[in-house]
Amino acid sequence: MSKKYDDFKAVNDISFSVKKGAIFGLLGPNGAGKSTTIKILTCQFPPTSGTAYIGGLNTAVNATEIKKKIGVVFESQNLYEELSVYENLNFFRQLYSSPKEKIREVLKAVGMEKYQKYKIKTLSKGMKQKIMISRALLNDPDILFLDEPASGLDPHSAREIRQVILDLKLQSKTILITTHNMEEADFLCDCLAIMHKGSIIAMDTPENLKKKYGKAILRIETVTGDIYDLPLNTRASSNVFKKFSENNQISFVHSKEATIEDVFIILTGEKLTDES
Amino acid sequence: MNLNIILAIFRKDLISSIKSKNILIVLLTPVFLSILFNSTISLTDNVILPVAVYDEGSSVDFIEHLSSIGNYEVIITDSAGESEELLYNEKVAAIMIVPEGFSADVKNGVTPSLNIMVNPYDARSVVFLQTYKDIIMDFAEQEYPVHFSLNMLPAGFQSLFNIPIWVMFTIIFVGMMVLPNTLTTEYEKKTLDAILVSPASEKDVIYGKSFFGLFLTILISLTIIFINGGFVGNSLSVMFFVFLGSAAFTGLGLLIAIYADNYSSASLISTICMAPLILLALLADFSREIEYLSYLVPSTYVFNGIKNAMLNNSGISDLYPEFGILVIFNILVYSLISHVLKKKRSV
Repeated sequence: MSKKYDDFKAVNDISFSVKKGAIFGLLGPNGAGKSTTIKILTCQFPPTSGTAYIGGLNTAVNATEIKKKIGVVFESQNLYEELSVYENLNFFRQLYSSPKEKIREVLKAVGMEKYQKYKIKTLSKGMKQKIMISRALLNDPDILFLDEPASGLDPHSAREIRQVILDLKLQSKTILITTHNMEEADFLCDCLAIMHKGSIIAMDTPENLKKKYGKAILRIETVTGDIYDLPLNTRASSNVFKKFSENNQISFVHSKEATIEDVFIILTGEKLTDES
Repeated sequence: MNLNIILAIFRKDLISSIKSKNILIVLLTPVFLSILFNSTISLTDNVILPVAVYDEGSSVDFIEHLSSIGNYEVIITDSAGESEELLYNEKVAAIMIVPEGFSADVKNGVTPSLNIMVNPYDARSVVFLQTYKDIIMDFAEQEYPVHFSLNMLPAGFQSLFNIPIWVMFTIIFVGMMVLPNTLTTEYEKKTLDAILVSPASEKDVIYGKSFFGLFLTILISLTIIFINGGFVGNSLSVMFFVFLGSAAFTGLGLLIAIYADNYSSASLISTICMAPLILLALLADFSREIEYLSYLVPSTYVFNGIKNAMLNNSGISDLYPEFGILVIFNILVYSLISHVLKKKRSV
């Protein structure tokens, strides 16, 4: 599918499928087309060309049916700040015609059941993010869309959010997550699509991506201070190591696995920073 | 269109407006203003007017006559300059420079001059201008050449004249200022995105907001009518016009919000639209040109409908032109909203 704004192609002829119960990640900087992809999949607007299917339903045709089956966590914390946690969730519960008991259930799922009476504006960013996730669970969705779920959170809150996501996976939820955080993508996703300028430039499991595009390195530091980066698990590096070892010239040895960041840099020639 | 969703949006907006003190204050403004205005009008009956008087000579009995008027607080000065200074400093509402021999001239039937100056920025000067001629006629022991038969309207009737103005103001104010704010805030805080990924449609949101606007406008209008003792005349007709007017201006407000997309643009457009809507309806009697122009704005039909129903006991059958035009206007506005939403969605 593609999405064009005048002459600008926000999403350029992408195609992917997500297995039921898997966490699928869209990784890329701002402007890569991640959020536009999510907006198409959550029926916020149709693609300019192509078709998107959610659970076998066409997003451009069966929007009402799809909306009942999905939950969305937005990048911006779009809650009603003046209202309490309960009032926020109760409003959205009514939109889905879910039973009242669901509120307690979804708050329990994110460990926030004690905060029902708190006004949203009194909560921390991490707590608000948990409320956003609980809101997305009100209709007991099969598929969850999480747009930058841990973006801007402190490390502790980010870790908590990631744990909540893993717990949801255990409940057989299919999760599509967008992120520009390499570690998060590597840690959470079963399958990862790297997006750049509207296109998917690579897609596989994080392990396979690292194997395919990344380089595992053996770094040898000699007593004279020289550094040698050698490809890991090769005969050549084994020979070099043996030579330095025999002459007692080795000061330090490190092995460095390839990371998703390496893969991204290799594929795009760009670094992915928090600003992006 | 889903009634449960519309009601959920209505309830949420109602709770939000109660919890947000700013919105609550804005909503109560028309009620407060109507009470303040009517209290101010009733106060003018008992207002005490400070008037500075400089007697250039021999008019003590005229000054005593002025002092005997209960509503005048006469301040005698030693010079015309001192009187003027008091006026400029807003210590008095008016000054009188009484010329030499004024009292004698009045009593002898000569027509003397009396120099009067008022401060037009002092609201009390209006009361002075309404009374000073009668006081001088009384001093000269003269009478009007005719006997007036002045019949006062029943007590409190004056405030009845103002109720249609305040109700029209409320309908326009809440519909075009408060309601667009509730929608543009949803745009700006992106809460609308969260609503629209649920089974709620844009139409549900618009109808939910319309329902909320309608409820608020009718509630505040009824409060104003109740507080000012306005349940007179044909109350059923009044309610019809309040309902039709509320629906029309709620629709206009939502149209502005849909078009504007953000709070500041919506406020600007609403403010620009509000002035002619209110003024043309109120000033229609001032000139033929304004009257013709007033037929172009829906507020005129709301105002005339409520006024005639309340003061002349007119029913819907008497007011069918106003009623019909407002019904057509509502159909047009809500059709336009549907059209704009459809267009926006396709974009």
